[in-house]
Amino acid sequence: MAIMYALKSSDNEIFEVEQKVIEQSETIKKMIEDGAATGEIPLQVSSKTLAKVLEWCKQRQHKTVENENDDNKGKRKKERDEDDDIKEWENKFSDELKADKDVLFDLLLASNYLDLPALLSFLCQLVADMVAGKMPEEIRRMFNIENDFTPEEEKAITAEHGWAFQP
Amino acid sequence: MENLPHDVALDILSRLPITTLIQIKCVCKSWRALAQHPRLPSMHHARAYTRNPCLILHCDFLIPNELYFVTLGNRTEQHNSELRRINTRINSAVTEYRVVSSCNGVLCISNTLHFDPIFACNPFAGYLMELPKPFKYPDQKVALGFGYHPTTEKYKLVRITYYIKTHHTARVISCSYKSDVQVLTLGDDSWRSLGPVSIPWRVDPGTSEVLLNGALHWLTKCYDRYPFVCLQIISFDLAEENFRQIERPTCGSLDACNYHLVVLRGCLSAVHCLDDDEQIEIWIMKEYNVKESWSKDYVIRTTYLPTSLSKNSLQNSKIRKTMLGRAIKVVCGLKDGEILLEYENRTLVLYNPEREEFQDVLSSGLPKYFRTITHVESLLTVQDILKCKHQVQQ
Repeated sequence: MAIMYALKSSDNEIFEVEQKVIEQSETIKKMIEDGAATGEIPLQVSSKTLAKVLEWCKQRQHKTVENENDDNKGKRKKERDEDDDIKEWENKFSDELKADKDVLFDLLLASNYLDLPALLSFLCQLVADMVAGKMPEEIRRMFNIENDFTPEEEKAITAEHGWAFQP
Repeated sequence: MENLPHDVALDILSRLPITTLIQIKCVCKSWRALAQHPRLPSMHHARAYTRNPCLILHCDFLIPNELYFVTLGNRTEQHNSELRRINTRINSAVTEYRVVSSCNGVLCISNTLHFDPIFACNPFAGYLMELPKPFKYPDQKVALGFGYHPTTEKYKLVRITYYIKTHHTARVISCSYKSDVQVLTLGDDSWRSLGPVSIPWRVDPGTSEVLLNGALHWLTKCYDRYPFVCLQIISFDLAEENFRQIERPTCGSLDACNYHLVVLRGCLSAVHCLDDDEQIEIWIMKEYNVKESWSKDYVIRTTYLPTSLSKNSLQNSKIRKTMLGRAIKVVCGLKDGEILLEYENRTLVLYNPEREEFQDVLSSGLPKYFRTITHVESLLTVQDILKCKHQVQQ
């Protein structure tokens, strides 16, 4: 029988999760090892974000279990199919996050707080890909950022790094 | 972004292409502060080999010479490749130059004539470092290479000089052919001579072809089976400082004179342009210096005509090609397995080996003639790059 843990979100929702899944989080793993995790584990993460975190962790867990069960025969083809599946899953996961940037940034904070390096790295790359190649105006629009430069200040920056702004 | 912990925000920025990294300084004050964070240049540099290389285009048909760079677009995010001119201070020091090579973000350039003087620079960090002067010989022919060895963590320049020495006696003037190999470790004050070239083949004047596993590789003409001339692959290990011969495949496909070297998938590769102009073959040496590990991994049909090249130019190129032996050149491989091709020094094309598809990198705006150099974008100064530890390039 798998050991289950109850995680409590900041808005008091309870998530029942297998130990193996949640131990990917170094923060929670440490809490369990320290014996601090009796009963519900309270987390400073909203239920909406925590659901996303767990979605990621389950997918990762699924992947590692399957790889352990593989024998070498036919592994390469299987691996390639799996890679495609994971790619597809990741694309869907990314698209949802791109559509809801509040969740995306909450998830970034949560992955940092829960110490999930793989998720953190994935999300950093996702944001970087969203920003790469975009002009300042597009980035402001994308993240609802207000331009707090005076026109003179902006001009000074463009003048200093002329090559990066001229097409 | 400003609500994220500093480390997370910097992690994101360290993944950006260099142009975006400069442009985001204009987004708002907090983004500017992040983009100017003192730790960012080294974090960004450490990720250099996780990104696709940027390409430097060197145009030497104009005087002063010009440098451009191309940041390759990201297909999934649908942003296009961009071409920009680099304003370096190179032109204030030298107007006609050659790019010797680029390594870990350090671009090594030298005056066109006799490769002297030589400079190291990072075109994105402005500063130009003049390197110590080598010994010179009368009537010299020079081959030059620049690279890094991951074990010794040193950058070195290797200069192979062939020259004629004349002896005056009372009645006769005789002359003899001499050679000299000189090495400069960057950071040292002077060049060291290793004596004459220790291999029987003559390294052609020019720059080395590729750097791999801390060794420079040249192609040298080999007359062992005269009148058949072929190209021999020669390496110079930057740690051991000796020459080696790299064996070619047994099947004889590279017993030709029209191939060039490139690094693909981390392996030494030879690109053979077949004379009939219809295809190029790429041979890959899976295990370094194991003759049996060479295999023909790609055959690229070259019937694709880039939009910027008219039919006319390709026909004319037939003549040029037989002279140069390489109308199409493989520049590098990209992260997703695509291969970048340079056509006639005039345009760049991406080839997808899985789907056998071609795509123009930039359909317009490219300079008229150029040579493409793969480069690593970095915000660090040359001095700082020289201090960094670098993994073997992937």
